[in-house]
Amino acid sequence: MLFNSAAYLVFLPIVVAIYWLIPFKYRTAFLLVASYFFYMTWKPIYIVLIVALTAFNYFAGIIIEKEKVRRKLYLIGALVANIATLAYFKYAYFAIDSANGVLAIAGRKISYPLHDIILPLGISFFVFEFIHYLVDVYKGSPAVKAPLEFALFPSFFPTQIAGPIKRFQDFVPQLHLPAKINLKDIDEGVELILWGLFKKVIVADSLAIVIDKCMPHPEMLTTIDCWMLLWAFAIQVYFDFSGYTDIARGSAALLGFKVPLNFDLPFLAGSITEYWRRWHISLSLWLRDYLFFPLGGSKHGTLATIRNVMITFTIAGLWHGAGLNYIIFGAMHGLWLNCNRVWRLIVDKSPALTTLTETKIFHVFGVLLTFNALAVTLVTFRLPNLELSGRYFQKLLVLTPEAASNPISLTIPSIEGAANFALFPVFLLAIVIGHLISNQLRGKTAPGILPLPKSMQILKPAYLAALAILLLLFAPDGTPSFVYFQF
Amino acid sequence: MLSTEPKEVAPVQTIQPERPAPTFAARLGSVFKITASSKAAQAALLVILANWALVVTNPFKNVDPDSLPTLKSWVWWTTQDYRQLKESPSVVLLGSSLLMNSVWMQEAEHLQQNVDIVVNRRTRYLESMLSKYLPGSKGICFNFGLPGSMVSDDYMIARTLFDKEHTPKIVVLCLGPRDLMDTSFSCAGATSAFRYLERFTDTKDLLDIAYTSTWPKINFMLREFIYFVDKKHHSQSVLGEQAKSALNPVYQGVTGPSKFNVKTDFDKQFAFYRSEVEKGVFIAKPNVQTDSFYDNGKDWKKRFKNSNDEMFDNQKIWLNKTLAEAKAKGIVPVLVNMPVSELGIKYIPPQVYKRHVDTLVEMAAKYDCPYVDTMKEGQFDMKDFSDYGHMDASGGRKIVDIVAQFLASDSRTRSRLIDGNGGGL
Repeated sequence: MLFNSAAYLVFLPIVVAIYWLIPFKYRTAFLLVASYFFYMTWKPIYIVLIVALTAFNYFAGIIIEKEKVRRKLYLIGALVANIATLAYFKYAYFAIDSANGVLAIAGRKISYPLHDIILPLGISFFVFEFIHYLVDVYKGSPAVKAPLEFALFPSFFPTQIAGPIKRFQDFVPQLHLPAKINLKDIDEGVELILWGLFKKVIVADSLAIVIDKCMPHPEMLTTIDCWMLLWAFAIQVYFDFSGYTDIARGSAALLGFKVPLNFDLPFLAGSITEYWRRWHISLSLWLRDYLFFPLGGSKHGTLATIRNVMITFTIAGLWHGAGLNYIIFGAMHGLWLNCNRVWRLIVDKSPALTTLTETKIFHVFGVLLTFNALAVTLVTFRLPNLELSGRYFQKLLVLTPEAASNPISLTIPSIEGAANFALFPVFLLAIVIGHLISNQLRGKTAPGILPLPKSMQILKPAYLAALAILLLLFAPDGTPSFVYFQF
Repeated sequence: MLSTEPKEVAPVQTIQPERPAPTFAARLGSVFKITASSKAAQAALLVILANWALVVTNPFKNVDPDSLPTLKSWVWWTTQDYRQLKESPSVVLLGSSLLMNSVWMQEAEHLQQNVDIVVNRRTRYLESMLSKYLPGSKGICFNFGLPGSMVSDDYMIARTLFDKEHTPKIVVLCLGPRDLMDTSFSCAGATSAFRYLERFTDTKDLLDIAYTSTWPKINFMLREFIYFVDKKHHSQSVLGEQAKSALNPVYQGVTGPSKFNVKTDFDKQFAFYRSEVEKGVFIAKPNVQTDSFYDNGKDWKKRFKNSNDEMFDNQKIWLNKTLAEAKAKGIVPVLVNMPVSELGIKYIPPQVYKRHVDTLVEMAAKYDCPYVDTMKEGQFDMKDFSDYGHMDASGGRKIVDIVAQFLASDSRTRSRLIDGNGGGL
C-alpha cells in the first residue's frame, strides 16, 4: 500500500479514527496490528520476516543488557544476524552474479545458480533501526521490555517502508504519553500529507515523465539537455523522498507521534558537508553514529578521516543498491566530502580565504557548485549500467565532437507529446523560485507547514483546499512508486 | 493595624469525585467537535462547496467531448476517421491488431500504394471483393481493428459510434482467443479504447462489468461524485494545450528540434504498444516480400499462461451486449473466429481454445447471427503469419476473401448488402 494510493487514503482515516476512539491501553496493540496489516498488503508472507527479526532483536536486546561478561560477543552475533539477513535479500543476487562473472573470466565452467530474490519492502530501514537499538543497549540505554512496544518501533506504518530512521529513545516514550486528540496535530498532519502528496504527485511524477523518457538516451540529447535532466532528476528524487517523508510525518502527527525530520532544504547547502547535514538527515546521522564513529571518525588524523569517509560513503552507496553504479555513486560522495574537508583545512590556514568564503557571493557559488557536484553523482545512480553512464558523462562534459557541435541548444521542450516536455524549463525555474522563498521562510515553522502570520491564518483552509483540488486534478491514473522504496 | 495583605489560607482539601471514563459516544462527540473547528475540516468543506458549484454549473457541459485535447491514440485516430465518413458504412470490421494489421497490409497490396493505417481505415479490398462476389453491392467497408482491443471495446464502439449517421449494415466481429481473455488487463474499463470512448456516453449502467475489482469501481464512483476527478483528463488536456501555446513564442529561437520526434524503425515496429501515435508511423508498402518472422513467443505464452476464467466470463457478458446492441440498432452482426498460427496454437491450452470456439458458436446460435470459423477452412499456413499471432498481407488477403465470400453467400448478410438503404433500422 503506497502513501499515494487510494487504498492508503481509506486506510489512514480508519486507523486514525479507531486509534483515538479506543481506550489508551489498547492503542499500541492496535497500531501494531494496523502496521502489520499495512505491511501484509504488499506481500503477506514477508510478515514472517519482520516478526522473526523483531522477536530476535527483542530477546537479543534483553540478553545484551543483562549479560555482564559476553555482552560484546552477543552484540556482534546479533549484528551479524541482522546484517546477514539484509545482505541476503539485498546482495545475494549481486554477489552470485559477480562471482559467476569472475569465474567466467577465469575460464572456470562452474556457475552458481541464480534465484530471483524479492527484496522485502523497508528491510534496509528496519534493520538499521535494529542495529541502532542493539548498539545503544550495549552502550547502556535500557532495553525495551514491553514486547508490543518493541514490535511497534520498527513496524510503525508511517515510517515502516522508507523511514525516517527512528531512534527508540525518541519513539518508545511517545507510546507512554496519554495523548489526547489534538487539533493542532490533526491540522498539521493533514497539511503535511497534502504537501507531501503535492511534492510527489505534482512535482516528482511530472518530472519523472521527462526524465524516464530522455535520460536513458544521451545520444538524442544536447549537453544542456543532459545538465537540465540531471538537475531535474536531483529535484525529482528530493521531492519524491521528502514528499514521502512529509506524508510519513503527517500520518504520524495524526496519531499524535513525532518522527525525525529528514530534509532541510538540502539544495541550498553551501558545501557537500552541509548538504549531508540537510539531506536524508536520519540516514546521515545513522551512518555517522554506527559506521563513521566506530571506524574511528575524525579522531586519528586527516588521512584516517579521509579513509573513514570513503568507507562510510562507499557503504552508503552500496546500501542504495547492489551494483557497481551505486558503489560509484557513494564513492563520489565520499570523494566530494574529502575534497571539501581538504579545502576547509586550506581555508582555515588562510585569513584571506576565510574572509572570501564568508562573503555572500561565495556562498552562492558554493550552493551552485554543491548542487552540480551532487547532480553529477546521480548519473550512475539513475542509469542502469556503466556503459550508458559513460556515454552520458561524455555528453555532459562535451567530450565527443557530436556533443561539441551544438552543446547549448535546448531540445527537450520540443519533444512532441505530453505538456510536461514544453513545461520542463518553466517547472525547473518555478522550483528554483520556490526554494528561494522556502529559504526566506526557513525556521518559521516546521518544514512542510506554510508559515502564515496570525492575521492571515484565515487563508490556511483555502491553501489546504487548493492543494487538495490540485491533487485531484493532476493525480496520475496509476500509482507510481516512490524512488526510495527500492532501497 | 489592618493588614491589606491577603491572609495565607490553608488549602482546602476537597474530595474530587471520581470521573467516569468517557463513553464511546462522548469520545465520538469530542472527535466531531474538534474536527469541526479544525482548519483541515474547513478546507474539506471548501473543497466540497467548490465541487458542488462545479457539478451544478458544469463548465464542460456544452463542450463536444471529441473537441477536447486528448492523447492521439489508435482509438482516437480511428474514431476521427470513422466520424468523418460521409455516409454510413456498409461493413465495419471489429477486432484487435490481429485484424487491423493484416487487412491494412493487404490494402497496400490491393491499391499498389503506401497505406497509412493511422489515418486510412477504409478497406477497399473488402469493398472490391464484395462487388466481385455480390455484384451490385455498394458501400464503404471500414477496418476498426485496434491494438489490444477486447470485446468490451467492440461494445463501446458499437454503443458510442454507431449513431444515426454512422450505423453500418453489418458488423463483423473478428475474434481470436486473446480478445476474450487477455491476461494483461485488470478489467474491461482499463483499456485505452474503453477510457477514450467513455467520453461519448454515460457508463453508469456498465459499472459492474467494466470495473470488476474494488479499486477501479471506487475510482469510478469517485468520478461520479467528484467533479475534479471526473474532469481530470479534460482539465489536464486543456491546460496542457494552453501552456504549450503560451510557451511557443517564448521558445522560438531558443529551442532546437528534438531527435525524439524522429521515429526510428524500432519505434514504428512497436507502435502498437504506444499510447500515442502519429501519422506516418505505420505505413504499409506494396510488393514487400519478407520472410522475416518476429519471435513474440514470450509475449504470446504470457497471454495464455492461464485460462483467466474471470476475464473470459466477463468478456462473454460484453459479447452478449455487443450482439444485442447491434441487433437493437438493426445491424447484422457476424462472428468470425480468427486464424491462429500453427506455432501459436501450440501454446494455447486445448480447453481454452475449445472454450473460445464453443462460445462463438453458442453466441451465434443465441443471437441468430452468422458465424465463420476461419480455422476450419484450413487455408492458413505459417507463411501467412509474421509472428505467433499476427498475419501479414497474404493472411489479410485470405481473411478478407473468406469474409467477403461469406457475406455474399449468407442470406442474412446478402440481403443487407444489396439493400439500398443505409445502415440501421
